[in-house]
Amino acid sequence: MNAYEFFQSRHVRRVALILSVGVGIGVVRGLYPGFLEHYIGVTNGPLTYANSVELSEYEFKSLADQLTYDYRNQRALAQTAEEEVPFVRRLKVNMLMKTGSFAKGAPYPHIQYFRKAGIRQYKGPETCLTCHATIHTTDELGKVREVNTMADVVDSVHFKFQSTASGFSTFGFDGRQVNSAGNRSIPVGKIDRACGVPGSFTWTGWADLVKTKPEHANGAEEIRSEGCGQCHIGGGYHPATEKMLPFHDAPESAKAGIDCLICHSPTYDMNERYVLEDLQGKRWNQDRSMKAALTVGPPTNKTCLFCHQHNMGGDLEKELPVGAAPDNLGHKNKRLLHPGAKRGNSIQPEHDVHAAAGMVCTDCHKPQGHKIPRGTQGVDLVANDLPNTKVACETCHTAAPHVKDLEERALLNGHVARVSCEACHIKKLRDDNTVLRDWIHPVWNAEEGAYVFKDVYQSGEAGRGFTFLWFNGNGSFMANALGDNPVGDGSYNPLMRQLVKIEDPKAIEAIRQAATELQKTYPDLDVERYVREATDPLSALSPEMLAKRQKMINEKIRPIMAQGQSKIYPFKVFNALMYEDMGNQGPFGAMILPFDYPTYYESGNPRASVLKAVQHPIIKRMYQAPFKAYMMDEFMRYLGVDNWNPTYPVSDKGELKNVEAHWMRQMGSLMINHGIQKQGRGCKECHAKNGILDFNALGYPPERAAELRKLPELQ
Amino acid sequence: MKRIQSIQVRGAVSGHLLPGQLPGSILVMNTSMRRHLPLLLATLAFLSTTTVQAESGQEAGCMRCHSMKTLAYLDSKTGGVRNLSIDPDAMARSDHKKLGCRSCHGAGFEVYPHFKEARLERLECLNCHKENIDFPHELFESIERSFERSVHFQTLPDSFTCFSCHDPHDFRSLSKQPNEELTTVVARDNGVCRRCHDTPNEIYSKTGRKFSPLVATHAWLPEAERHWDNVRCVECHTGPKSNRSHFILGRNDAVRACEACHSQNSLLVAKLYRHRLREEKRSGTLTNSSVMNNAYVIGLTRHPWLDWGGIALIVMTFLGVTGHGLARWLFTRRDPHENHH
Repeated sequence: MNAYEFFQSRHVRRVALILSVGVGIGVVRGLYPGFLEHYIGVTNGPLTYANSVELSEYEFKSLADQLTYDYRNQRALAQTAEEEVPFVRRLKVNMLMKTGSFAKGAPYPHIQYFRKAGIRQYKGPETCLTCHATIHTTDELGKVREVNTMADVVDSVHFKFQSTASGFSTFGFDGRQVNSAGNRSIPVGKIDRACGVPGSFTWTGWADLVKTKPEHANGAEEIRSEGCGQCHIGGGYHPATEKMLPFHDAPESAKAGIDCLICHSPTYDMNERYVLEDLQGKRWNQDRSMKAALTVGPPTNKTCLFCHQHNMGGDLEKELPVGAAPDNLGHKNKRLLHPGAKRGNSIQPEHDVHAAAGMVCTDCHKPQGHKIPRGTQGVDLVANDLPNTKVACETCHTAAPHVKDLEERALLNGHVARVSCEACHIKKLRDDNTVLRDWIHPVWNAEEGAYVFKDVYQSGEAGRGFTFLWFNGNGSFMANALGDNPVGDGSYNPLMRQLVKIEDPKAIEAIRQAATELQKTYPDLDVERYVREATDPLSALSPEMLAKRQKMINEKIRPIMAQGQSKIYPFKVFNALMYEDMGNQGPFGAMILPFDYPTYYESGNPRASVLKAVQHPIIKRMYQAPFKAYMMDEFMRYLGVDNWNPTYPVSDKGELKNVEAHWMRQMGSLMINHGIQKQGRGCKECHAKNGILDFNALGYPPERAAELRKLPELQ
Repeated sequence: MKRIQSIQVRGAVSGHLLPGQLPGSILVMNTSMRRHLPLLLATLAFLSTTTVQAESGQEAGCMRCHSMKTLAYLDSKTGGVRNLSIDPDAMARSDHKKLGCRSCHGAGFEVYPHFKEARLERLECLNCHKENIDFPHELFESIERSFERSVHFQTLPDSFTCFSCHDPHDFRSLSKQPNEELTTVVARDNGVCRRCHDTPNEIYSKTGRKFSPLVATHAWLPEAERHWDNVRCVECHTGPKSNRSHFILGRNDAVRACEACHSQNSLLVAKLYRHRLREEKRSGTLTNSSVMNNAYVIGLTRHPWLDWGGIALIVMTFLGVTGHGLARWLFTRRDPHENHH
């Protein structure tokens, strides 16, 4: 029987077909990840951590005793806080520590669990999964489900920080809701911020080591850590790239690098969070000590703020609780601080009424397994694990929140229909809240010993650091709050007014002053032109582009603004001067290009820094056909540009080509919901001639605006 | 904040100068007054115009606050939300649209914040509706009598008033919306009951009584949700005569027998047709259209002759079609033979 005859048999043919399909799948599954790694230039490999060591029985016992002692001592100190005489207090503390009932409480249940299970070394997720292979999650309707813990974490935004699912409250400038049904899903995350390394470019700035020459070191070099990875729980050499690519899951080595303890351990040492370099490349170290592991529990404010301090009070906030991230920059390769607060709304008890009441983040952001809700509203492109789960003041405070003032309560509650709680109860942001950031004129920071970006304007004041906009829960693709005045005359148009013009004289003066300062380092800088471009970013658009912009707003954006029920919300405003690929420019902005951090900080040459970053394989791939088809075309349509122009912005000579520095065409508007004050604003802060609300700009008919400024009740 | 006077002070005769009263008051005037009639009429005319002006100015003043959709507070007595908002559109549609705020609300409301005494004001629908010759006296007498026998009044004689169900700022008589879909009418009408009865907490906060949820109390009723969508609560929870809809029956007395509605001599259909017939008479269209429109549906009209007629129609159609088909088949079978020859 020859081969031909052999395959003539129907059964043999079937078996052969099944075998070849099976082998094919095996080959693809085996080779595909390797191919992708090569294609986008990332590495994976086994991750080791120096602080993950096995303890002897004696070491385990003494650590457990120490932790228990420290905990009880803290409690005893807290209980005796009112005792003024130090000696008496010490005696009281000693007595309490020996009191049976007081000492009985087991502060850290995992000491007992680990002891029984014989766990003497914390090896990362595998140790946690020994017992927590599955967990029970409860959704908002109270339905309980058992889920695989690892899958739950890997699928959460905290790990993958992007989403291809529907549920974005963000709309493209072409009028389509991002990733909504009927549209092709693309991976989108926080990509519309004028950050040095905007979200989709985390590859180019995941983990970097920067050589600095600080003043205090007298010319000696200091190595500092920098990069997006410091706040994301993946521990690999690159972000969760695989989750962004089709038919692909994070490799086992990346899953083993997940940092469970940064969220779950209140004794996590942020000094362990620094960039280390091994044979495979650079990555972020983490605290895998038994001390951190033994003290695990549900997330607390402290653990959330290890990362989120940056977008609450900011990196420069003082008097933070012991262990806070900005005060513990690393045992070595200290992390670079990021001055200029992102939102500038502190969540510390003295600035936030909920924190003062002892509430924890998860009281409002009630987790469902490892998915944490951020509410149904959002102006930005931040991926949302639970887009249908509400996080709202009303949930606790009812629809009639003002209770005490018997005379005014009804009238104050009357405002709830049109005015958000935040509009009155967040009166001020921190002074270092950044409004305008210039990335292309870096200045030498002697203390850090590096070239840093220049914050041209910072303000925490109403009308300067934040503004008031109508908001119905929708946002634009460039993070602009959408909504409309329900009783307006149709003139409300934030994308042509509030978000594109800085008109406040005090702000303009401060910007001019900053520009004059910059001129000392950059003598060619034309101060007046600089001020004009910073305060009127639309001046960068040609008349045709401007006309197209107005047309798109009217045709595509207005219907989205008119949806639902709009209220007046405060929004932190932000713009930045960045390099853009002008081949991909539309009426609402162009593709922002990332910086390479070490080049930027060390040389102070932003063009060289961009040039270095765009040579990263992933950026090159972005300018090739597969990526264009996979996501870039769709992405650009959301941005209001017909197609992705795949012309790589580097010339054959190796110079940047068609790359220009511009302010984004409109300021981004970031929601502010924290830093809530108990006492809200008084009537006259808004209803007065120079009130903080510009009723005309908010689209009220002129006579109504005049009336709102001058209410007869207040005369 | 200091108290401020509202924009215009209430006209001297406002609230009393109802259109129907004018001729009557002229009749009771004595002869000396009749001599000054032209002057008096002129004065009255003047007063009435100033009243309207006062009222519309007044309206704007009140509505500056009361049109806020969320004007409300948490009532410390009940723990529930006390809504003070008035929807201007609903008011403009309501039967009371012509009345100014101050026609009903008395002294103390013309300033903000309102006087404490004003909050003690107790209004009664019957103050106007019983004593006024514009309204059918007997109807309101009978409503009052039925209401006093209703389970609500019997249980909560002090706190249950007309306003517990009827919002005077939004009140529209059912008979004035003949063109509305029945399901819309049903939904709105049942909404009044469900506002309390579907929210046991609301009842608890208002009365301190713990009620079982509607689904539990109506567990015996098949297809309860469908009933609620299509039948008004009061159809079963009132006495059998049509004008008794204020005589609300409690759970023990309400109609439970399915056959009360689902039978030939149906209570519900009787009520429904009586209502429809009345509407049609009023609107002057064909008085029997509501019967005729549904006549082809066998059983719906509960009229045996129409039912038989319907059945006969179907049988005859069937016979006609089969007969015709049979005839065609018979004749076409013969054709090929003819061609063959």
